[in-house]
Amino acid sequence: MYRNSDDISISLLSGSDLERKKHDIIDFLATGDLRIDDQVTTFVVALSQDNERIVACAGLDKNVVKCVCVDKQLRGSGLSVRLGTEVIMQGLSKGYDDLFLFTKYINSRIFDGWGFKSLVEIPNVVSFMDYDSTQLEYYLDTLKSTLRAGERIGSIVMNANPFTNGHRYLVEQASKECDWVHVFLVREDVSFFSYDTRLTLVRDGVSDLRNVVVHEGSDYIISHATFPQYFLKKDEEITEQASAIDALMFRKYIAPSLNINIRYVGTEPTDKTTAMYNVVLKKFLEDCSYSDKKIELKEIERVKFQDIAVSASRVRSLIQENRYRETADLVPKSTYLYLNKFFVNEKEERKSCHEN
Amino acid sequence: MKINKRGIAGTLESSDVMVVINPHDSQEIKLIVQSKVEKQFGSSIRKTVKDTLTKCGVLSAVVDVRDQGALDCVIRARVEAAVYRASDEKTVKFGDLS
Amino acid sequence: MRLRRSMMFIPGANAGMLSNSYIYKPDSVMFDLEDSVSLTEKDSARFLVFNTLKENLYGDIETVVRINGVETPFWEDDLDMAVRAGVQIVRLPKTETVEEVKELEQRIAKIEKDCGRTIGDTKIMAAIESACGVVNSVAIAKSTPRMVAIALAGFDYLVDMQTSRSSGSEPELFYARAAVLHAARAAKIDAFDVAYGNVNDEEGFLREVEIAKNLGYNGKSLIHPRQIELLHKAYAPAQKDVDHARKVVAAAEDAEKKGLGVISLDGKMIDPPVVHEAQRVLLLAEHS
Repeated sequence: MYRNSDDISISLLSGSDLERKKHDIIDFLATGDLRIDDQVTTFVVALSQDNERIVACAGLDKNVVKCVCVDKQLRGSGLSVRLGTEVIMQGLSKGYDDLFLFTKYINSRIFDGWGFKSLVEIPNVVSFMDYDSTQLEYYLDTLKSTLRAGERIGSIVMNANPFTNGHRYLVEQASKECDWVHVFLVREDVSFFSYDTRLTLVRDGVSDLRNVVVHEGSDYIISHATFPQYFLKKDEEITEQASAIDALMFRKYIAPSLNINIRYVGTEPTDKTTAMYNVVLKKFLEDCSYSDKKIELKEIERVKFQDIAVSASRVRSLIQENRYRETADLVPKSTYLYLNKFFVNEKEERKSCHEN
Repeated sequence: MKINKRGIAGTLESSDVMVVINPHDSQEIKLIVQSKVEKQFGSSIRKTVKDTLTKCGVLSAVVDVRDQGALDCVIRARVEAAVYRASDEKTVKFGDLS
Repeated sequence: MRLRRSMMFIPGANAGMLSNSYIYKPDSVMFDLEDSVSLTEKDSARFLVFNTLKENLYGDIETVVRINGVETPFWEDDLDMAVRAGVQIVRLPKTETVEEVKELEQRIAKIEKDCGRTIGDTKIMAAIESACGVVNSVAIAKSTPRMVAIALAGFDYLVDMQTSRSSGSEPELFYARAAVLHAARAAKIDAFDVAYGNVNDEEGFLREVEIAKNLGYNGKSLIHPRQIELLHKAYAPAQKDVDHARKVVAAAEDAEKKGLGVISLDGKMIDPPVVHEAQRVLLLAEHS
């Protein structure tokens, strides 16, 4: 009977309920200069009970909170914390240990009220926040258990979708120049190959290099693919901020845990976005205005086959065109064996289907 | 009571507290408290949480407490609710909580 | 004698309101486990209400817990919590028959015995929320010595009657208001009028308070703290009534001192109910 925040009810939308309300959400987000993010699977929506109008919303894409918007007139009314409670309850109930969000710097105060803390930020631009920072501590403790002594400690963050000769070359170069090399595999499910497969192929692909340690990725290693885009208008902004957050997280938390002082990337001759990513990465790894120890960024010339840079995307398109045998020239033996097995099995399955 | 899964209770609203209880791999209570009145009441909040866990017979758990200035009785209520949600206990024995 | 003018609803899942509402000094406070609590928070609301009651935050304010209806899977746990926590009154929603009250009473007695409370200590308030409930209200009001009040609840009742709330003279509630009040008076228990939903409409609220007060209702269910003071003011007796009541009570005390069986004031004989009413007026004056 007694109504909180003046007759506002909070409900959860997903699946077909969400589809039905999507237009209203899009319109509402526009009032806050935001766009909808198609990765969001669940929306927490606050409706005014008299006219069913949306007065606040927040979306969840796995463990990343996105598309948070509260009606301007209701800010400071306690509605925001009701929304936050529901979002956190939802996220944690789904089994995620930590929740994240990226926000315009000026909005980060709202999320202080939700118990989120800023992990890294570019002042006046963007903040990357999480709910339970003890989870990051656990992760860093795990990393520290693989600490190796040396003067030059290198690192590579890769997606390896799948692991190619290009990745192999990059790791080899780093391996030659450094006492130890830490390889981090970005953890994300949007890839063509499953995370476990990618991890196995990386491990197999570098197993002969004695000074290379392969690490499972975590939510704290940011990549361009995991960075949300709903609150930025221009593609360049997206790339720049994603790259900056990646650099700052790496510099502030990951690198010090393992005494890493160099990060390796491949040069990018064709793709403009990736090329810019590298430029920004360098800037924020080496920028003196941040107190964390600088990390040197080293670009290694991409390895080529028949004059074209070897890339995972090239391998994927060959597979999609059923030309998987041609990948033999682009990937290490271990990856090729896996592809071979995968496709041979598929063919056999097809064959047995026909027999039936 | 045994903590078998994650249990969450409470809200972020003023005068309330949000409690998240997780299973722990060792036989101890790992307690993390954050409060806007940490300085004055931090130790009292910790004691209330620990006493409530003891009363519920919880010996092993990771407990995350986010306090927004809740009264002791609210802290007890939220811890109890989180414990029950984290256990497989179906009926609450209010007699034991007296 | 106890004043029951204001019975303020507090959602049982709202920690802030449970922690703070005593400052508004209602006569009774009703911790709700029913409509204001979502299905997913039924369990946590019980813990909150239990600990709030145990803490004795509300001091002299009468405590009521509204349990979920006997047709739900929640009411037994609600009741177990409330009785063990020492609540003064259990409010049964959607009461329609004497049987429901009897079932509730037996269950209360069992818990009282189990936890060492005096049998009969926990009182009952029946909420009448349907045509059936209104028709049976006399029997319900008289069903048990535990029954201390009945309350008319308008929302569900009007749905049941296939009508809705009008403004003005409110003909839709005429019969129910009169019937429930008669049942209460016949059983010598208290009666609460319906809650007024629009907390921003002071005028409408006061209009309803006038109706309830003039009919003879002890008070009203309230859904917002700002309604408490308005209600208490409206129930405050006029000074001449207070003056008269003082004289009546003084005469009664005088008669008792002198060991007289008959009370008289200004040469007229005064019946015990008049003395009782005068005492009520003084109590109202004291708490206004």
